[in-house]
Amino acid sequence: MYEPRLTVEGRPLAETGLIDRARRGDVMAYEELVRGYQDLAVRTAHLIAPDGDAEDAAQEAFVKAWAALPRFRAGAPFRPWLLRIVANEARNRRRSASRRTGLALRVAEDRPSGDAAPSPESAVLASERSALLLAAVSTLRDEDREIIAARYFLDLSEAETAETLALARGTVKSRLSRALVRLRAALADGSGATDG
Amino acid sequence: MADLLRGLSDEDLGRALRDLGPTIAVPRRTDGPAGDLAAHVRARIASDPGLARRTGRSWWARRGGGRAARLAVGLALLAAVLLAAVAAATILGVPGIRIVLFGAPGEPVPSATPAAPGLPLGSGAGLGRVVALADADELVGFQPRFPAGLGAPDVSWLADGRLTLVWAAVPSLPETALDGVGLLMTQFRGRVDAEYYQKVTTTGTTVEPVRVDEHAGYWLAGRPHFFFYVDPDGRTVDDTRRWVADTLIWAADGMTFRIESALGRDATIALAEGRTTR
Repeated sequence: MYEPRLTVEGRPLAETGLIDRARRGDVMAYEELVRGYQDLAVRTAHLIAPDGDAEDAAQEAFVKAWAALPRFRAGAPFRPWLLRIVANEARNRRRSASRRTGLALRVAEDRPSGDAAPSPESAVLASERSALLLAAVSTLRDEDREIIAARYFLDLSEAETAETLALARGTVKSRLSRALVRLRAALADGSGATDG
Repeated sequence: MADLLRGLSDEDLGRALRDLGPTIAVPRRTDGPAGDLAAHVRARIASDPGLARRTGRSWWARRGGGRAARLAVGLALLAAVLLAAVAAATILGVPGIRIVLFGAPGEPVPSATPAAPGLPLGSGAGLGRVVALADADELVGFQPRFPAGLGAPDVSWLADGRLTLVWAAVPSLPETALDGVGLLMTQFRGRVDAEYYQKVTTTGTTVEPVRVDEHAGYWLAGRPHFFFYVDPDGRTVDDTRRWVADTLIWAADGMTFRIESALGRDATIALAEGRTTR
């Protein structure tokens, strides 16, 4: 397991070498890369297709990424390139589902470590707010949920969001703006009325 | 509460969504080593000839082999697997261990992963995570064993119940295929009558039946190889995630042991036979 050390450009120092070796066929180097990105990939697959098997989708995406690695442009950002493959795999699985069974996004019972312990009252309020917000997001159409997931839930930059979702940079802005409008409508409606 | 959310500015709504992101639960499987997705990916790539040759480094690709050539090679490999499986089951005959030869003749041998400076010995070899030796007993659920005369290992690694002890290369322990590593000893619990181990090698690897104390084992030497086993549930488990060199493997007392060293067969067996518990 490598500990990412960042260059001045923010790219993990070890990552460039791992990518280079993986492109030359070094499976071990690729495994290290996968290990570094597996949690993000599974999370991404789950956000794109909440009802699917996110781990299975991520695993398949990593295998496809390995096959596509010779076409990866040296020096390009790896994370959005990989996430685009993950997103595509998750989407394909979503489309292949015979019917939609209802979205399965939910807040974890155990909050991520590092959170300061809130007071009981504020914890309840925060929990209610999270549940409401997530319920509203879950009612959105796929393209709205995807852009919100990429830009906010995964905290990707606009450029990364564009690459991950195969959109033009300008489309990210406009689509995100429209998604937020519909999210507000869903919050106002308090139900899944905007499900498209 | 809903009113409060509706009244948020775009900026605050964005912040609330960002805060929400890390709290969203992501279902993970509880059966099997789901947390080690990387190992599964690695196993799939290593066991799929179609993926292994995607870099253009393979001998048939360089010779312009197409679909027909790949099919021929695949059939040849399948035949090799079947023949070796029969040989391992009927001739080599270690109960519970079946070794399967598999590989493309002439396949270039990848170099060992160079160790990054400042990282623990064995880093980059897919050995899992570093654990304190003092905690190893509790973590793996068995009493680790040690080759005699080597002292405490320099680093201990743990992956899916497999404990790997690593000693640094010194004049008396020549360097193995891993940078700076003189000897690795991997041990894990294995039900000898229920599991079998599948070894993926190049054809340049020799498999020699040996005895370790009174237990049957194998000395694997020659060209570097991969190593897999199939667990009782039929899942392929990536036992090593790298090309490994000369290896002694044996099963005893419900455990499987593997030592990788550059000492040669007899010296490695002597180390294994003299192993002591802490």
